[in-house]
Amino acid sequence: MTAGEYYAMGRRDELWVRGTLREERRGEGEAIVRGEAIAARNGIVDASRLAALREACDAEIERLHAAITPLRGARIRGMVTASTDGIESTVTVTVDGVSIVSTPATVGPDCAALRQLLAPRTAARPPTGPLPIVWRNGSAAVLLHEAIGHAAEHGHRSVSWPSWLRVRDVAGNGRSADLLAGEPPVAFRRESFRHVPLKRMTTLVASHRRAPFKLPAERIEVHLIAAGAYEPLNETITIDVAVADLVNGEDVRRIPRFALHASRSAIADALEGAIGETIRYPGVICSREGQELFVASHAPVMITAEFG
Amino acid sequence: MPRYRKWGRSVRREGAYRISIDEAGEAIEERGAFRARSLQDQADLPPPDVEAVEAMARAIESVVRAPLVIERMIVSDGIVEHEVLPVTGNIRWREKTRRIHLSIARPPLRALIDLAEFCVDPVRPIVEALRRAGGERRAPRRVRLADHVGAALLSSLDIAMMQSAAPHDGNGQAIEEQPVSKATPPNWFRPTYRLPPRRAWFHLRAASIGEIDGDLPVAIALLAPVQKRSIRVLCVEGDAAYPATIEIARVLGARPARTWYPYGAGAFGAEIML
Repeated sequence: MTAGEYYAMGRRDELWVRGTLREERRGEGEAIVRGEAIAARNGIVDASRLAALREACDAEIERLHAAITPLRGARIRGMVTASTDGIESTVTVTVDGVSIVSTPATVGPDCAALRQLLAPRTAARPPTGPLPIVWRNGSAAVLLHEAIGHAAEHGHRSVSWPSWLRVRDVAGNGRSADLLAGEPPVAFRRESFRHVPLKRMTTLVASHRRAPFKLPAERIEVHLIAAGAYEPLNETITIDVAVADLVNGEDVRRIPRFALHASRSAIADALEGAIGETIRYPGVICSREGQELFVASHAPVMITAEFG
Repeated sequence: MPRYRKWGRSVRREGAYRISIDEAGEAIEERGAFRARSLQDQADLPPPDVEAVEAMARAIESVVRAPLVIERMIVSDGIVEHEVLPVTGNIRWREKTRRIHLSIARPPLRALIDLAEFCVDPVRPIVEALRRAGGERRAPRRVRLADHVGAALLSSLDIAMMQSAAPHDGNGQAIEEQPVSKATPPNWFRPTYRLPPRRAWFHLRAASIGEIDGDLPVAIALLAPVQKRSIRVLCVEGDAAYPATIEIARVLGARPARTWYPYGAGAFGAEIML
């Protein structure tokens, strides 16, 4: 953080329920950071900057409206932020209590995939014991976000991860951090002008180099995650799985929501393999220090041995 | 629905940062939609007390020593002017607020403290107990919750309590003293202009129930946010201090205290015997 850094932002935030606008928020503000003092205020003194941010917000919210118009049956929260850091636009879609976080460019196909995933399936009871887990749909990015990304943010010691694994945080201007090596994220981010800028992940990209991959006949396949958490005091991870199947050969059955708890090192030990290219996971809203930020997340299909 | 406007000036210490904020906004509900927007105008409000905030932050930092660490500290002082414009006339009032939110850690334990006044005294015994805390123990058969722990729990307890009177709710209406019931609360809670107001019981005060046994182990601090059926607390029993998870069972005794805490729409301290 440099002395005297200036930050300005405009925001549009809307909640749509079954095609009807329920909540709308709009606002602008600016902050000047001098060392460890931040002076923040509503409004933006420079009229031309204010006009530019409003114009950028209006243009982006129009794009967002066009993207969500076909999705009338869902609960949708759209948020557009135009700031001195650039423009960010997210769309959170909730169907039958399951949420994804997308962008105007991707929300159409993401929502279609969500509805397909939530189509009625034959149900199964939860497995009686731990099983290997196949993390589909890029969902391994959430596991690694918690186990590697947050640990790097906290400066926690590295644990021994498989040699084939790569996990980076990618920010703007080509800057990136090797999270696996314990490097902290490169970008200072903040929820709004009222908040303290912190080094937070922007885009987590997990990949692999010639990883092994062997699909066990009986396994859990995770598709969507409801929430994840990293407990910095004991370096444990909690993952609340929203949509998963129990697979046994050709038999595929939907299982109820469940939670996994494990230490970072247990997850590192359990990570057995990966296959294919990275897949964009539809969304992580990351909460830390009372600030909620969108973190784009990508990972290939991964497999973990029994844990938790 | 009324048009609501809010102007505020505040300063807060958050970790090492000091953040000064001048803010204004308005909210309105029309045709079933809640709309909020920031206002460009600033209020003619006195400045917040920066020195008091810094002094309080220093006082907290001075009592939390290794191996304890301040995981999160927010100390704030602010003044807010509210305006509600109903159909006839408008209502305008000011409020001063002070808040402390503390998370003090001694891994793997974390004590959570929320206060609405600048006083380090409630923090000291928690720090002392956390410093000497041993391993996890089974919950004592009976326990006494310190008044700030009881305040955090009050809204989830099914015991007799009163809503305490205050001049204004989030729509500018008077808050009347009355028993809290399962009926829809009569008043509106509006902690920010950016969210729709919601109905809530204000300034909960527990009714006195039975006798509190002062010799019981005391739950001196929350170690996690209150759950539906249990609380994770730091217990002090004689010279021992230990973490335990206590099921929220039948309340055997309650004694209201005078200190107000910033839980929900407000709650007064309550010593509770479980």
